[in-house]
Amino acid sequence: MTPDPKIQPSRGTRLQENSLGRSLSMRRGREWKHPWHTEAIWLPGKKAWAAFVLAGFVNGFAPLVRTTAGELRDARATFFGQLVDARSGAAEIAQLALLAIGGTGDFGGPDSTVLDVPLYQNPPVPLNGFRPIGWDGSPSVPLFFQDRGVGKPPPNLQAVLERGGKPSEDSLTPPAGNRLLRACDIWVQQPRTALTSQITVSLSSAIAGTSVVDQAIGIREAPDSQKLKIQTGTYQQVQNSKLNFQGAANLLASDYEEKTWDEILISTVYLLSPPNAAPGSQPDSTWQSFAKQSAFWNLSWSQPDAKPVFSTDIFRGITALVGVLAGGSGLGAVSFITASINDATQAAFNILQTQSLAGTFWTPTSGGTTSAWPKVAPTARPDGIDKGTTASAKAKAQKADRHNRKLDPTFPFEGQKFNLSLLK
Amino acid sequence: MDFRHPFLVTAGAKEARVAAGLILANIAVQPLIGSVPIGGDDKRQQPVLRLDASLINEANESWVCVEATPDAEGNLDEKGEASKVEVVQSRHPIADVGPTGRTPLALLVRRGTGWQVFQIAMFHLRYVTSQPANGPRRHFFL
Repeated sequence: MTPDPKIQPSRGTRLQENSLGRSLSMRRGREWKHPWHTEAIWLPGKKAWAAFVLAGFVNGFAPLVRTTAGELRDARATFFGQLVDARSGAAEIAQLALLAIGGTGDFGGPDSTVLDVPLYQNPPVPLNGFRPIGWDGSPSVPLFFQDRGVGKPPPNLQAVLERGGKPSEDSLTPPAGNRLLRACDIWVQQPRTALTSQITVSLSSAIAGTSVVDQAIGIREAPDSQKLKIQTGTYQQVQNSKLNFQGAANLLASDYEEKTWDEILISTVYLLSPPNAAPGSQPDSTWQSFAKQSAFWNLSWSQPDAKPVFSTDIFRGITALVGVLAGGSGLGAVSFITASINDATQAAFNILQTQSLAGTFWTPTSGGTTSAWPKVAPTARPDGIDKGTTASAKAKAQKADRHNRKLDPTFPFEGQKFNLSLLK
Repeated sequence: MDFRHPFLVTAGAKEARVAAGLILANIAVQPLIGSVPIGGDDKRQQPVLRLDASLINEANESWVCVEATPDAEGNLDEKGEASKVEVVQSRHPIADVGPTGRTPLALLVRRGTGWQVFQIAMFHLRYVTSQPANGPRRHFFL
């Protein structure tokens, strides 16, 4: 078919070819967006940035967003106002107006009324606690933003300040055209039952030079007020990992309690300043927003069953004296004799690791959860050339490069793997 | 772009339809509505799930779910005599302990006399169970 020079796509239009010919649409087609898809929006009334997160679900429930009636009304007006333009027809404007006044929920009341709104009602997610990255913040600048003019902090500045020295004028002046970057994470918090541990250490009267360690293991339910909800700020991945030995170092000195929630990162909103913004300045409407998506599919979540503690399950090389099952919220109490505090700490740590009630999220996909390249095992070849490994390494490098230069991966998106230990 | 995937739920005021999808266990089965596979078969049309407006929680939410009741060994059987896999409407989306497991396919939110649908399941589902020595069976849809 000969191209028609009169039909050319321009801003806000889309040209498509199909078996019947070519079509020019005046508005962009509705593209499918995955659950948890995040976009940021400037709220002029509140003079703040907020995020819209497309409805995502954990075990079929939508997380709640804590916001106010005023923010909801401000966001609605801004969001739907942007959809109306000079080309909007009367019917479309009327439909949007209906949605803008709360077609999917009653958000009446004073502006200060605090509301917990399910994510599927599209509440604005207030973005609090932006962290600085780049010239006036963390040196870990994603390649995507380095390409857009975000400079790293001067390499020697921190060292000069730590030595008590005075930085030179040059080191405090950002390069021409430098842009600043701010980031705020959005994550989901899932309430759960948590493990508790109380330890008492006393000198053994039976064996000189040894101690008796009593460890009572119990569970604590999440308070009723704790709901499946959206959180914002700086996501600490360690919060969701199992206890590590460093964290357990003072187990003998204090009671230990797991957190009564699990968390998973949904997305990160980045705000990019105009060129030459003054270091330390706050984001406003002139900044540009980007969102890096980290979750792409609805999630399932589960946690291990709380199991009674049996001393023979846990101790190896340490003498367990008693294993007593407790009632109520207790899972068990164990006592053991040890000559070494390190042994006692290690034993207590082992119990907590074995008994941890940390839950896991997964994506129900019926199969794989990754779009990563499969690993290719190295193969010895007589000519010394390993084409498989070379091709794999090259593909991996290319993929990493593409990933760094884009903020988001393309379809098919990665999912969360199921934790097989739940089946034990 | 429309994303037409397994278990896609569409709902009218009084009934819902669920696109064909598989529960993958020891065998692969389509859940039933009544006695008909959710996607229909050679002889029967795609069945509809009658929606009950009273099956909602305090937030006007209801769920279209798949429920699996395996046999004593945790398996599904071809003829559905010792086990059962069906699509139901429920006030609660999850049941993972006991003889029957349940997982959500879509959230239905009551709006006036109709329903707003939010899709949850987007793939075929793998179904496994575990049977602890001293406890009830647990169900997982992966």
